[in-house]
Amino acid sequence: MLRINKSITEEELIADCRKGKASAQRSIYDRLAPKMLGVCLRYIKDREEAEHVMIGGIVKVFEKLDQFKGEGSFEGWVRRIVVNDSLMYIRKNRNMSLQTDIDSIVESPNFGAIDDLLQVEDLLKLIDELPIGYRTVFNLYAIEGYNHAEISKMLEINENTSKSQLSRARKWLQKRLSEIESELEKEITNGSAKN
Amino acid sequence: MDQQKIDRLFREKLDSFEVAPSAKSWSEVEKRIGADRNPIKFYWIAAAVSAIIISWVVWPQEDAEFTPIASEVDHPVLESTPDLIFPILERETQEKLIQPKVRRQVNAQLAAQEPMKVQVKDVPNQKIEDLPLVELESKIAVAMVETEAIETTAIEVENIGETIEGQVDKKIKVDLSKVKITYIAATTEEIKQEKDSVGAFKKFIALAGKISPGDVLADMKTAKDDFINGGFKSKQKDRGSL
Repeated sequence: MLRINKSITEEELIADCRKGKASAQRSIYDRLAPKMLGVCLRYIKDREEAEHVMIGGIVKVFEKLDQFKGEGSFEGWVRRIVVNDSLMYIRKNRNMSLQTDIDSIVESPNFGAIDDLLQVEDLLKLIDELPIGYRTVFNLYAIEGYNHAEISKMLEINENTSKSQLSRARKWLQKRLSEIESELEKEITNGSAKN
Repeated sequence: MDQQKIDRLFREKLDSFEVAPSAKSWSEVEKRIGADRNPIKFYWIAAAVSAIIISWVVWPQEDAEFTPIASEVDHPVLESTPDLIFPILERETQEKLIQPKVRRQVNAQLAAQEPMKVQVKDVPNQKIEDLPLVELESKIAVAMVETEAIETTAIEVENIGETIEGQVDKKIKVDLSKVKITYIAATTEEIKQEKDSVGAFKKFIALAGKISPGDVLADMKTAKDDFINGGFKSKQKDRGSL
């Protein structure tokens, strides 16, 4: 029941936005802006730059609202626009270095323990530490759910490059997670010894 | 397996990751979607206004049929005014000459029905409703003159090159097409009537000369300030109190 009401409201809001109703535009913005800023921050480290890209994406959403045919979720449609804008920003402002060597992987971390201990902010920090090429491919594949064929088109890179970027990104993250895990374990043992 | 676990870990945690944007963020969005919309509105208004102006200028006004508002139509009444100017020459000096006051009269109903026609008054006391309607010729309409009654004691007649100053009882033969008559007012206050359009133009120039540009600018500024501060309302109140 709640879900139905919510979907109706969203449709109504979109219809009102198409008519240029300011209050509806504000509601859509309030709903989507924090999520989309979260998306941008996964691609763009700098907070101000990320917000700037998010604003541009939201503006584009309002401008192209007539193109949204109601197929699939509205949020998904907005997300695609914002992701695309983030990629455009990366392409314009930085050379995407697609080659970064990673040292051999040490050991596999204990995900069960890390899952509970790591905060969202910690994971974002890890993603931020990734070289830009790895980060972009990892974001697109692991979080947004694009496949390698799509990613290769979006980034104008070879499909194999996309695959290798992803695997390197994973290895890099694995390594960092292991390091964090061992740090956490040390903290826990120190803490229990004190007790 | 580890690879998929990594993907899942990040997806689960970061998919719903939200960060509140700064307060200025919405105003930026608002400005940008507003800025895109305004020019469209502006162009529409500009287009509408220019269309009105163009149609007004280009429209064949001579052939245009229009329905005038009765109260606004000044329907000219053509009166025969035989003793307005020249017959005065034949009258006695002592006799105070009173010129008939000619007033334009408007039959509003007729004016609305037949805006391009003029009513002709032949007999002085004829009722306005009884006046016959005649097609208006532009020359007649333009020549309508409104005068006021003036008590006159003397008349100066200025003929080509020479001035004949004399009593009214003198019969002066002049070429009526080339004569300028000045009535000298009987009252202490001198009233000069200039029939000459050049005179009116000179008056206008003289008046314009008295106006200082600074005063005009000051007046404009006052009017602007009044308008911005809603000063017109307060002025109306003042009038009411008076």
